[in-house]
Amino acid sequence: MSYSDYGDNDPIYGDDLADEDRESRPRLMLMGLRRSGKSSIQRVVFHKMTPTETLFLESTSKINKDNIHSFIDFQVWDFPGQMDFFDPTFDTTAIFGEVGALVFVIDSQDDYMEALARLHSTVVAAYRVNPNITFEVFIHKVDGLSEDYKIDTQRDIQQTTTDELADAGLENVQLAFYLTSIYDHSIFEAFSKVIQKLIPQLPTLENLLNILCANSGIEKAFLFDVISKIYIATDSSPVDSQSYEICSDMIDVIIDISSIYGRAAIGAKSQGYLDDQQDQEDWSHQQDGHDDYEDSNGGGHGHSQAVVSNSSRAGSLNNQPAQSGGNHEAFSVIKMGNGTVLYLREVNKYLALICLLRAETFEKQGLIDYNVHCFKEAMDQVFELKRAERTRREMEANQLLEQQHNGLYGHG
Amino acid sequence: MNRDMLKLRKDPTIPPSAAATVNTSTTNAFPVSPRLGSPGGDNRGNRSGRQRSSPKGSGAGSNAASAAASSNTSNTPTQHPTANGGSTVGGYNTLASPGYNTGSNGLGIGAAGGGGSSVGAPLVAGNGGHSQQDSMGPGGGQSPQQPSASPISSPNMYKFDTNGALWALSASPDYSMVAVVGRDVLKILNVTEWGAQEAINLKAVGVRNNFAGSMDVKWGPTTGRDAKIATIGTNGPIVIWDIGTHNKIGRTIKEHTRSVNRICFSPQEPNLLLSASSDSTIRLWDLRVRDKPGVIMDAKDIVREVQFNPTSMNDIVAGYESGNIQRWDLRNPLIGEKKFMAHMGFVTSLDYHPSGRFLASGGRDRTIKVWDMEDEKRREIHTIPTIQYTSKVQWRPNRPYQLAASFKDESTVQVFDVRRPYVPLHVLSQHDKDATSILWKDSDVLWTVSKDKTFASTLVKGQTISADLLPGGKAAMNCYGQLAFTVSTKAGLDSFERDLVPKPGRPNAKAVALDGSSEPMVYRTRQTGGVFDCELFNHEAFIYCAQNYSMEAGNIREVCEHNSNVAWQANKYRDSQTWIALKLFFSEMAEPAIVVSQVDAVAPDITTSAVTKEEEQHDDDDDIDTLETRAAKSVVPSLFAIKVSDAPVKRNWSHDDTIRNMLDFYAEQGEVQMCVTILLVLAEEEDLPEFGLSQHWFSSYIDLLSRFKLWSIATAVSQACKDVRIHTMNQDSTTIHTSCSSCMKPILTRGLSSSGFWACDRCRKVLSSCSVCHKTVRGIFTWCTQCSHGFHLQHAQEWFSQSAECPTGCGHQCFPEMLKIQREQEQMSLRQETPDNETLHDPSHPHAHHHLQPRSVHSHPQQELASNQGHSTLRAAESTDAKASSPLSYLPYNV
Repeated sequence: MSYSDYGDNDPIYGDDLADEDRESRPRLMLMGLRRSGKSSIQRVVFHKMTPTETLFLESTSKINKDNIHSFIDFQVWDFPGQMDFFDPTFDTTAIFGEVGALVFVIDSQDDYMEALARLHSTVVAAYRVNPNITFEVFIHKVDGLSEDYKIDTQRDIQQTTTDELADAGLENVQLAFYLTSIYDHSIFEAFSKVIQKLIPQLPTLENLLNILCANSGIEKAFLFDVISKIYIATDSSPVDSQSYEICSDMIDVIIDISSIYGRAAIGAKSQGYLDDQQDQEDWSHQQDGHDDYEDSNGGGHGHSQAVVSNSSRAGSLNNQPAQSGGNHEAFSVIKMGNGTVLYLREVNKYLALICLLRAETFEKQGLIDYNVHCFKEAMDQVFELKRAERTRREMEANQLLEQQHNGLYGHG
Repeated sequence: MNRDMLKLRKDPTIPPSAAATVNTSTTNAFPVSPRLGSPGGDNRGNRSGRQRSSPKGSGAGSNAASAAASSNTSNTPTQHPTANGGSTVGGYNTLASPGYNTGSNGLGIGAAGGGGSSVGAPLVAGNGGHSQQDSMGPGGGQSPQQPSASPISSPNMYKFDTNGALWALSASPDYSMVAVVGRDVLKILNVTEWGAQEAINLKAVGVRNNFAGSMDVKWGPTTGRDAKIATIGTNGPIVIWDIGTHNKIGRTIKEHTRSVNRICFSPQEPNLLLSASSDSTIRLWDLRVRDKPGVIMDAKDIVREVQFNPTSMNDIVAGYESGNIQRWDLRNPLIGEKKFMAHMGFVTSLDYHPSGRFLASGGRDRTIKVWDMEDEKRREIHTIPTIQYTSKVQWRPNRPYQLAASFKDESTVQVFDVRRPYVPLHVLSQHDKDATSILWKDSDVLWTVSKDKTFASTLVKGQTISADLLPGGKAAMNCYGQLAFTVSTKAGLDSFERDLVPKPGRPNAKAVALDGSSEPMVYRTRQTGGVFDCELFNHEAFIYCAQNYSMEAGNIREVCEHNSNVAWQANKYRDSQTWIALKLFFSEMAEPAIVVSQVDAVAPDITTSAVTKEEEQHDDDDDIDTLETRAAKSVVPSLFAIKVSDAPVKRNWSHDDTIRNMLDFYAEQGEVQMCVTILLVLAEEEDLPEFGLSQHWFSSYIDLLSRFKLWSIATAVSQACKDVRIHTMNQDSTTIHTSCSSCMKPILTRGLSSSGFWACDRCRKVLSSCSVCHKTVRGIFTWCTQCSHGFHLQHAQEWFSQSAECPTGCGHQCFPEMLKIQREQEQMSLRQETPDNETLHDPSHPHAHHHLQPRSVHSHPQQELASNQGHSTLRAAESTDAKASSPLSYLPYNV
């Protein structure tokens, strides 16, 4: 394959880019050597593919763009591993100009020296174009490594990379490293942290959750994106993997149960929360030539609806029926043997709040419900503000970008 | 342990009343001063019960790690105290261990019980007494070390209820007051040796200022009118309280955009306060200047923990969400200094050693690590595995090697000695719910707060040393019928300190002395051990039979004949008879010529009687000889009789029951060899019944064969077996992983590695090179098991014919026999003038074989491992002296 396939004049590429520039949603790039697991990560996290199926994925041959329609809209670009981005025919400015986060995937079971060299050149090039990119390094496929070897690998990679960057005079570039595997929750947790960095409202959300926890006796609260099982915010106490895993599993359980017993979510799409808040165009916009995604997104959306309309039945062990009305108030309770209660509450179409709390605290469920209600109102206000400012920010961003372009061209 | 307890009770020097006092005090593991309203008796019982169980639970790893413990647990009788009856039938254990399989079961069990007496003893003692004594079992060991403890007057042992779950505590500089905080609590307590009292409740003020509770608290080093405490509000701000003058908020710091995770006062500069926040900054506040925004250190990562170095004013250390620890110099807040990867997952807690050189860190990966901050290597010098991740860790004052830690979701607080990382020194279970934070008042008193709403003070000195509760006895039996055992030798007062020995091994070992002394010390386990030859299992006969038995199916007659001879040769007369009987059951027609003359003498039913007779004899172990003669007499004519009846013998009646009985009998005896061989020989027979346990027999037999290193026979058995699981067992884990012998990194070949198997990509060294010619060895690689240097076989032969020393110049005498042999040879050659070099260089020569193990690079790794295990079973039990001198491993990367 020749590099000119990705040239500026290529219709697929150029048109899409223009579209995206108009939209300016945060972009998340998956990069890395070939066969390092980029497409697998993308499929598992955003398309609900089971990890074992990823074995049969074809190698990616062109840039695969996914629009993720969730609470925050962002775009995931899956790059083919064999691509050389730094070929002169390649417009690095266009690629990196709008990127929010660059995820570099390293296969930890392989010899990663070449991957580190590629990472270095990628970071150097991307930083030159856009110093605001956050760089995330996934040390991937760690499921095959022993505990000792894991930490050795991470230490080795981290040390080599930071030393090389320091030698190149880029001490200020901050790389975050994650040990990931698609066979457990680590990839979701790592993605959660990546996505959180793209959410400007995170401190506010965290603070809201802190207040909610403090006042309701909740031990740990997560705000989950139901489709991808990514948590977009949590309170400030440290996240231990067990509590994240159990919450993530709870979502699975509820989605499964509600897709068995749930009412078909007919017409739900056209009414409710989303449409009040978000313009229909934005939602229904789909990239051309990405049928597979459209399917899975539709499916994911269906799931989400199922939770909305049926989780009260799913958690019907001790629940009152969900309140009816346009504002869905689905919730679910799982009581565990060790005296912990998992309490899921729908926040909106995409988000669910999952709280871990002690059984004795949960006796005051009314209080908690009230507090959650207040939390939801506060969240609505935060994002109302966001929407009001959205147009203004977009304009500003465009101006900034133009300035940047001009500046770069001036230097060049 | 129970011996001590008994001694204590019988000791005439202790008056009965005193003994009784000691008993009560030990039962109530944490005597609570009655003045403070102790919890009820039930509660106490629970606690002491838990105290006993938790050190055992957490020490489980160390049980296995204790030097003498065998890796072969399935053979350890003490692991199965209930198996004392020796009647476990058909189970894997019974079959797999040859120690059980001869007639004298009782001896084996008895010996094992004796060896492991200190294991069994506490259990027995517990069963004998009532429930209180049960919880006292381990306490018996403790009582001699705690003679002064009496239930009524024990200072510094109390709890104080604060009506709210607590998260953190901090003490005033003179330790007379302590601030405790939680989500709904903000209190200052007056603390004495005997109890605590609420002095000030700041909650009302807090609520008025829209600030309900607190996640962390620190008491400033200033005293008198300047006294300050700083708290982190649950909703964000840092609040400075002027408690010296009036109990009100002095200043609120709201500059952090996200929540603050930790605050820390400078020990030298009382007005400097550090704050670590999720907004990726560390900020330094000077509390004298109100409007100054504070020095900002941009950490670019969520900061979970920050600490001042106690000896250096400008040196701080921060722990991050990513698991990194970074050092900062306050004089240069723009660029952080040394940063290293410490934990997988976030860092939860940091504490500087009082020396200012070492740092203890706790992380999400459930370890506490100790770092030498002056070392450039960025490697931890000690690692302590913990049951949960630590919420707080603090070094014990005046005990340079000890630290205390509290854990998430764990009610106990544990005190560790870093030199003995696998067993906590003390396990303190003052609390009913998760202990959240700890603080050493002085070297003996530990203050803790917990989610059970209490503040507690614990006198650590004199607490049970949990290592003393661990059973020191272990026993393991190898396949040659030898029983290796250890017995713990009881140490006296303050045994923990006395068990220190200089760290063995190379002088450049990475252990660093934390107390400033030159030599690093480690703990020695207090155990002595030995090997007891039980001779319960005739392994020679077993090996002989295994090697010579024919397992060929189909030709039953000849095979049985052959096997009968083999068994006879091995002095297994009964087995020999069994084979003869089998031959008779399953051979179609035989020897017509001989038979004719004796035809009418015997009736056909004699055969059955002979068989039943033999069966009866199975139960009677004494007169095998008579059995044999009788069987011989009766069976032979019966054969003739069958012959003459001229009917297809084996179709006449079914042998199912007989065969089944026979196999059951052998199985019960543990003779899997017979079971398996019979099954294999009869494999072609159509009407053979199914045996539910046959898979067990096969796996046990293969296991046994592997222990005797009869690999090819084991493989032949598994190949001959029709059972799919046995048949395919050799197809599991057939991948051979290789690693570089110098840097221990795996050698990866499937990637783009340039050098393949020839050199290590990481350390750039030639792999498995010959120490003589420095080329990579292909084919048979021979290496010294002690210095782990390898050679071409031929080069090794050449070299060691000349010298006894390692060719690399490492100074190791690889071939000490060489000197002896050389000397002998010189004498020989002097006498005969014909030096016999051939024998000398032959690697199969017994001397050469002893030290130089030829190994093909592509040999079965399982075999290597198995042989390794087999030997470690033996060697692990040898005394420490023997350990030092014996070659520890057969695999080079273990050396």
